[in-house]
Amino acid sequence: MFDANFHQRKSLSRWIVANCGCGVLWLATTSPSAAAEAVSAAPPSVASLDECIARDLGDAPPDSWPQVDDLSFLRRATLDVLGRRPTLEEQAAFLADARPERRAALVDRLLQDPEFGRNWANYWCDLIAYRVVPPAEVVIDYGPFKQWFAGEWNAGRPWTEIVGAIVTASGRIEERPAVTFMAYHEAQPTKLAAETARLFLGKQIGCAECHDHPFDVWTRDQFHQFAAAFHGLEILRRKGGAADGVNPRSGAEYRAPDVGRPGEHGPPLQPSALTGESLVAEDPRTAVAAWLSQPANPWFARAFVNHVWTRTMTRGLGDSVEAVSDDSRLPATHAFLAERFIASGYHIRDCFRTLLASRYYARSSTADTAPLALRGDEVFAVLSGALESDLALPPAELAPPPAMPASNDGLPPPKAPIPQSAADRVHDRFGYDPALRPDQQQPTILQALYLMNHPRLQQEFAAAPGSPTLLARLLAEEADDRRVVETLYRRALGREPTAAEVLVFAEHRDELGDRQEAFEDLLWALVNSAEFLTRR
Amino acid sequence: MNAGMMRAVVDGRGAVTRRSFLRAGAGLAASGATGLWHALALAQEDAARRAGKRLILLWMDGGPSQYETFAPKLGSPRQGPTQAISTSVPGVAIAEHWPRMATRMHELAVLGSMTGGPTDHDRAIQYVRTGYERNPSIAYPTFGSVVAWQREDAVAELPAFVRIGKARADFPSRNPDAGVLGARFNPLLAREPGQLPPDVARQVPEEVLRRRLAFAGRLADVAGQDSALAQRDRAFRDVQSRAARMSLGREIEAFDLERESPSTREAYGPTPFGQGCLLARRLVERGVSFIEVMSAEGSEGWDTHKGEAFKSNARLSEMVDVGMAALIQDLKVRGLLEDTLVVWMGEFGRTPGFNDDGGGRDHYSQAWIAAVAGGGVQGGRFLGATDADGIEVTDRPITVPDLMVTFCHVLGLDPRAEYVTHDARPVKIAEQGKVIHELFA
Repeated sequence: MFDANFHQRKSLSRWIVANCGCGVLWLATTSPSAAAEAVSAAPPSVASLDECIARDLGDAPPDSWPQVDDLSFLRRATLDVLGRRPTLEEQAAFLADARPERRAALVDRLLQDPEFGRNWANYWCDLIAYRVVPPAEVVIDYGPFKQWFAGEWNAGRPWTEIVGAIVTASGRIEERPAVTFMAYHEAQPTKLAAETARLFLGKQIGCAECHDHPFDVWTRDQFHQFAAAFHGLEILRRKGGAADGVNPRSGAEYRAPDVGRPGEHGPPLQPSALTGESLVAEDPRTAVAAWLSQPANPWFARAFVNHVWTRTMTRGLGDSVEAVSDDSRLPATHAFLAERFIASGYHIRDCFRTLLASRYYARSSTADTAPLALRGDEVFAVLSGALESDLALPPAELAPPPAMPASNDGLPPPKAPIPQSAADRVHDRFGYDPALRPDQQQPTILQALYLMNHPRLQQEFAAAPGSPTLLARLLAEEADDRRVVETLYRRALGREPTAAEVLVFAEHRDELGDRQEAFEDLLWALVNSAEFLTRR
Repeated sequence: MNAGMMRAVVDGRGAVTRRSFLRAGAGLAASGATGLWHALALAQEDAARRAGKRLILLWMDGGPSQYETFAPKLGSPRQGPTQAISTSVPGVAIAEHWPRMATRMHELAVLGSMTGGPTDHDRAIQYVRTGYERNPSIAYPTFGSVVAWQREDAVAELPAFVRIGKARADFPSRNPDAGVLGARFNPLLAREPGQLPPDVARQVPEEVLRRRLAFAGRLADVAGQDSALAQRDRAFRDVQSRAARMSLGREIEAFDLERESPSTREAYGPTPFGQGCLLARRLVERGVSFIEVMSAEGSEGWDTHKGEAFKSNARLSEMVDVGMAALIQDLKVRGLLEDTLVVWMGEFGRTPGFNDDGGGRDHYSQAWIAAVAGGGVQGGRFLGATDADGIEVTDRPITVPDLMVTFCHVLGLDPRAEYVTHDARPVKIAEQGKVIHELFA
């Protein structure tokens, strides 16, 4: 191979993969500029994604892969796109749809739903929030950020622009919600550098803050040169000290701590990207945003498609969304998707459409799957969907707002927090850091206690005649036990009960001799199950 | 002393579990081995015993004034209006609002030369409870979570770490949790002593809950799930059965203070802090390893800057004096004091200078105090010294890392044991600090 630098080699291999058949590499003599042109050609067709996957897996051809039934497809797609299970009405409508293209039409409909943006704003916000060390004396509120993010996502803003807005934001959260990321990390350059790389490039560089990374390529110098781009931000605070925004302050020099002499600092560093380009600018963060958005950036597109793949395909392309290795588990597939994403102008809906249209997505579960735990906001959505209740407490029973210090060292007291909603309480219990690997997302005792004993939730399982609950209504309206069982399974789990499950229930009902109690037990058992809390 | 018995005491992670300690203790003592094995057996027994020790942290939220508690400076212009009283230790005087602790000073060791640490609440709370200065890259775990992580017992009904009462404010930065160790090691919150923690009380009769659990199990058995979901199902059923044990078992009765006699409840004082101390005693009896009891009355707590600070201090002191003395007495009478380290402290002390006639003092960390009793500590002593006005430490400075390492020593933990952050960064329980040996001499 001719002597090519980092970018040239990357451009070349991408061109090869995109145009010469997946998984087939041969020597090319094309120049890098031709490679760059080829990148912007029309994206490969969908059939190629399945072929890429088949080749990477060394698997049977895609046409032979068993596909899930319609109800399962509806359940999966609704969970993945909107973060909830499908309603009974949606289930009936989809099953009644006889068109051959009904699955593609469903995906299109879901992608246009405003809940799409809200769901994925929750995902990205969780990714950010679980790594924010609680800033001092501030009631953390991600509401404005989530609202802004969902709006941009639904409006079809390219991913480069959304990330660009987050990375370059200035001002206060109230006017510029995107600045939440900078403000809650307290404008610390090392934290911002590490988080920007982790979230948007899928690279864990944090170790390199103190020493050359032990098993990855990053040197300490590289880390701090990147951190220099985030230096010099002035934190804006509310009265009382709570971080509320940032402003760039030009002319500030960044010096990394001197390893040899604790307490002292080394020479001033010029901001530069992890691939070596200079990021010097009036506000170096604009240079960071530009570097992220370059098609030649080796990691930006790969990181994003990996996020979506991991949440939708039951097993990631690598170990974790925050440490995307250059050797993917499915190398041609990963490259294919990244290329397509770049070529489409970082079009988010196109990425989802490509994945959800594949036969691999609709494949019946295999041993290769690692089902994901539903996130905190998703658990609330499936609870309220299954029980047809917002689990709200009547005002008289609302817990008083948490205590705030009256003597705040002479400063005015911080803003009182908004009382916790039922959704917040569920998120507290069930939320987790989405960057964790599946084996790290284990259920907790507090979660089990909540589902088992939480007073407001238990009210929804009561079915005495006249109760305002869904179950009471169902039992009053429907005399056929089997129909009620099916309805409950459809509502709670988005599937039909198996014959064995129906039998177990029938035995339970006969043993109890009480229809109401038997169904109360059933609904309780459906909610108090692993399947209820799992994306499947 | 045979290898089989040794294995029974230590679990897969090398930690001695509480249950196994209680089972194995008798066996070790009875083995009657001699010579080298005897010495080894004694060392093992000591380690096992340490691993069964508990810590109760009496947390004075807001930063208690050393002048108004255990280190009054008689005769100094910094003394303030609080008078001093003599104690059961000749030559040692403490502030007048602590008459009951005065009779128990022979059991208390005062660490009179604490020094260092931030002087704003958030950073100081972070520092004193985790042993690390605030770092936006790492959510350091609070020490109680570290203990829970080391002591986690898959069989025990009660979690290893319980936090009783409420701090002055509910900011996460003022209530450090398990941080990078993960939510599993967060404290169980008992915000109102006398009430059960949230979601523990059954909402249906016992037989209904048992019936539902059995029925859910039968359904799960026939679900015919693929292997991947089966693994999640097993994990869920595991925590479900532990949760069920809490709800249906007897250990949860620990939270029911009405099982204590009225005279006992009265002895601890009719205050949230006092009843919290009583709850703490009940929890150590059931093997809970680390318990925090918050003293933060009102939203001012011990942060007495101005206003009628001396009156506030009197009121707060009385609450803590009653509860703390009752706790130490009760632990002693029940033979638990030797195995329970009781720690009294806040996030810093208060300034020598006081504001106006109200007697308010501001934050001060150049010279402050903490106090310990039980856990094998020799009481009746005052470690270190400050000058006559309490402005700076003149002898034997003690730092927060020293405290952390000393707690590890008492509890049988290795302070240099490491956990790992999300980005694979190893962190020691305590980087620095030395055991305060004078406490045990």
